Amino acid sequence: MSTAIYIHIPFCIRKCNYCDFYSVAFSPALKKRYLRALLKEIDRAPAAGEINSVYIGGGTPSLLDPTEVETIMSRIARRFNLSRDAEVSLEVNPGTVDLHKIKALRVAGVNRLSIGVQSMSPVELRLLGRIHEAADSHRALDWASRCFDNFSVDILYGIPGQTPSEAEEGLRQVLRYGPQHVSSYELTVEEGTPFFDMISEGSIALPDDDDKIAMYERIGETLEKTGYRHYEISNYARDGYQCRHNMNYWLRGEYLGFGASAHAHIRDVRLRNAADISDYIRMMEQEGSAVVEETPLTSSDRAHEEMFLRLRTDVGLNLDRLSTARELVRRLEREGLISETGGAVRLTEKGMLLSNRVIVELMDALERKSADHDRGHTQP
Amino acid sequence: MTARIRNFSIIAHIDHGKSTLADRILEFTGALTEREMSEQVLDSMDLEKERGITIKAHAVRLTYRAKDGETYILNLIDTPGHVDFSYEVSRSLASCEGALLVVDATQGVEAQTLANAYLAIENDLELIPVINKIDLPQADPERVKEQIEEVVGLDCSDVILASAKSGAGTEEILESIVKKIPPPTGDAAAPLKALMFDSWFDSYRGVIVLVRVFDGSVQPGTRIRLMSSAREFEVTEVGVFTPAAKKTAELSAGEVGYIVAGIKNVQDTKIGDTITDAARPAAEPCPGYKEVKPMVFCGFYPVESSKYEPLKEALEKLRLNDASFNFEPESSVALGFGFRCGFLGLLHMEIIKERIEREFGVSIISTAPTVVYKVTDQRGVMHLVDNPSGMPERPLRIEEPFVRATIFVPQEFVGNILTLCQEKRGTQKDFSYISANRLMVVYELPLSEILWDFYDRLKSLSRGYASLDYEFVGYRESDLIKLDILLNGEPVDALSMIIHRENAYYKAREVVARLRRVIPRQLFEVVIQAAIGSKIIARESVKALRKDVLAKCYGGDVTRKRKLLEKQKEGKKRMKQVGRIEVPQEAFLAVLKVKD
Repeated sequence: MSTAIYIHIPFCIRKCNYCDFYSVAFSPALKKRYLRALLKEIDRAPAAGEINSVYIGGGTPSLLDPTEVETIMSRIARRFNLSRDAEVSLEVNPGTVDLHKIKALRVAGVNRLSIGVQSMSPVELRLLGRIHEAADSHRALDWASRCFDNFSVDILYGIPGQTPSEAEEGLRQVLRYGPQHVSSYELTVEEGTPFFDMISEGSIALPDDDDKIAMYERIGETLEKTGYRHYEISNYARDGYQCRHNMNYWLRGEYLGFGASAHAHIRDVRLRNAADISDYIRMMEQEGSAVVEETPLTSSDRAHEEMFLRLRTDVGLNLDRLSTARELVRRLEREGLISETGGAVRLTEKGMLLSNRVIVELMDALERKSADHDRGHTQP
Repeated sequence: MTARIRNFSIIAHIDHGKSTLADRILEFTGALTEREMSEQVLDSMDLEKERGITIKAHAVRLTYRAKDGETYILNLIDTPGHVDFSYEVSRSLASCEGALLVVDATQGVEAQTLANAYLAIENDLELIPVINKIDLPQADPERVKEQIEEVVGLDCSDVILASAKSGAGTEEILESIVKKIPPPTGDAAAPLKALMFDSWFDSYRGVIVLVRVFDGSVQPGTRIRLMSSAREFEVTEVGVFTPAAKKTAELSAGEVGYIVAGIKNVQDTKIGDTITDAARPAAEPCPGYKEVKPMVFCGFYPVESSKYEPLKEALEKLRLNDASFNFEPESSVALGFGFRCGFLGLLHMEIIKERIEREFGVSIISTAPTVVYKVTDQRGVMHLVDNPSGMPERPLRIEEPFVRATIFVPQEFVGNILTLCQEKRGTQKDFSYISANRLMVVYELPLSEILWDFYDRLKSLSRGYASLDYEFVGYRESDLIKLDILLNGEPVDALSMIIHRENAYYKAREVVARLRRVIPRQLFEVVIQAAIGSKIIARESVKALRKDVLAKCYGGDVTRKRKLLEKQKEGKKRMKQVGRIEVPQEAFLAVLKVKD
């Protein structure tokens, strides 16, 4: 049984207008204290199986010096059994790297970059509040394609003012650099972000649903034609380049999380670290642990997780999990929302866009069945 | 014996300060210390407190040492303050010799002031006018005094100015009760004759009955007879509320108190009925008794069919305490098994509905409330129809209940109100100035038209200044038809309604448009149609949903996303599955609420 590790680097030069991840303003002194706490957390971590993926996310992990990344990796290797061919990903903001740094990251043990391009349009980048410009992305993509044989690009669609053809054009520019993996996320507006306020007061407006669907479809078609497989609602990869780390999440594998606001999933318990960086540092310094919440999963929690996570992917959900909802499965299949092959149920392209509904219907049907069972089918 | 008893009520328009004044009187007479007093003791149900209205009547015995040096027994009989309960109010008033007529110094005479004053005058009560809230900056007691004289026709030369909030005027009020309200008359030696004006179920002692004894006396051991049903019970306890229950040896002529007599069922104790001695019965019952019949009906259905039994139990428990509420099982093609419930009025219906959800935790769908129609079928047989789906085919004749509505409104809004009454098929009966800038308008309207949004619209069209009271005047023939609603071609019985033919097209369009707004998008298109017979007269559709997806789910997100989906699943549960279509609860009421 293998395990994954997530490392959170909560520093940003500036917070983007749409982002609700935990991050704080970058300062070298704070970074130093934070890394000390982080290394302590790794050293004190519980034993785990073989580590086959490490993901350094943020925040902006590319604000770390490559030597610091190297230190983190060597601590992981010292504490755990780090597989030789582990996937080691690091998120890169195009505005924080140069060729030298990219090369050094490679040497530090990173073998997969995830580049936060988001958009190739100067207007959209400004609106999103990104620190980088389109030219930075071109350079970063160029360097990544020269130094790494596995890199991924994050793009956003559904940006205010964006048209479906602009979304497709942005993607095409990215594809010229030949990434092995593309994550294409619909921009979601979270409460507490500047975007939420801007939309509430009406100064910007999201594209309508029809346009967003058109963007999703054009992006998907372009990627499939270029040889990427749609393997998760928002993720596309060339064969063999699916993100191992994220697949582990979706298949409910175990993972450890280090750093402020990092989460872990071990033996059917979900754990969460203190989100605030000073709380995190203080807890690590004083108590040697920063876990603030442990949630044991009930069997229903686990079943629901399994259903909604697996159905996001092309692995799908084992049909026997739905044995009491056969009728609904047939109906959803007739409606073209799911397909069933080889004993597994998967969402179709149409079904992915309606995945919440499909999942809710399935959860509801299973629940009703078990309630009927408990009641012994009594009716007035 | 009865010379130092005074039986009185307080009557007022809603929010004119009746309950606060009752509190001050209780406090002043020492029935409760300030510390013991939670605000508004007489309104003991939570719902009553929240809505600021009195639903059940209560009676409290107070002792007051007046300035003449004598100690008096004052029986304060509280009355419900809503038009749904006007019969109950009239029975409470019939138990008194006098009443305080409380009028807000800032609002003046309102529709319920007048209606209640008339009820009191019909019952020959001595009315003591009290102008309340005189400490408010906008108070205009002089103007209000004139209104009481002109509109109610009451002499206001010694009107009492009071503030129930500060307590000003309380003593003056008590003195006035003692001086002006006559003591009860009655013969303690005559056969027992007691008017029952309230009752409720107590799980320890059975039904507790509140009475005013007119003649004779009643003690534990008396075998009593309820004159309307001739049923007999043996009295086990009598007493008074002070407001705590206090046993007494007997209740005799002129007194107000409670009787416990092993009565199991509140349905046996009809408000307005006369209690007499089975061994030596009174020759005549107290006048004014009538059987209260529900005026408004609707269906209650459990949202989840597994909650049928708990709903039935809740309804049974509520009926134990409410003789004016009844129900019987019914079933609907769309909604499954449920109950047809009858109420005195809409407020009554809302209270019961809220109590089922709040106290019994059963979430229910209520169908649109409807009145009782008298429908004559092809064979000339008359049916009472309280559910649109029970309407006979091609009826010969349909009659509907009408009310006489009295509305008080400032001049500047009168145009709006007249338009509203016309729109609601009203016929004007009176239109008169009650002061330089306020009018009283009287309309006869079909009860069905004022059932749902009439009061809200009256308030919004007059910025809250109009007031309303109404009374049932009888059945009249109307040109009514049944409008059916179809979802994806299937008629949904619970959405059918009976409406006037003239408004049919307009209403059909409004209802269909409203349903389009409340029915959420589904995985397929939902076509909503309105039809008279087989003729479709309005159509809308809810386009199929094409997108409902969580873009991202990473490791730190699993629990939050799971909860989001589970919440969505719970939301789905609150919808009623009609065929394959998920219909939210509010859709079943949307049919009446055609304007926002």
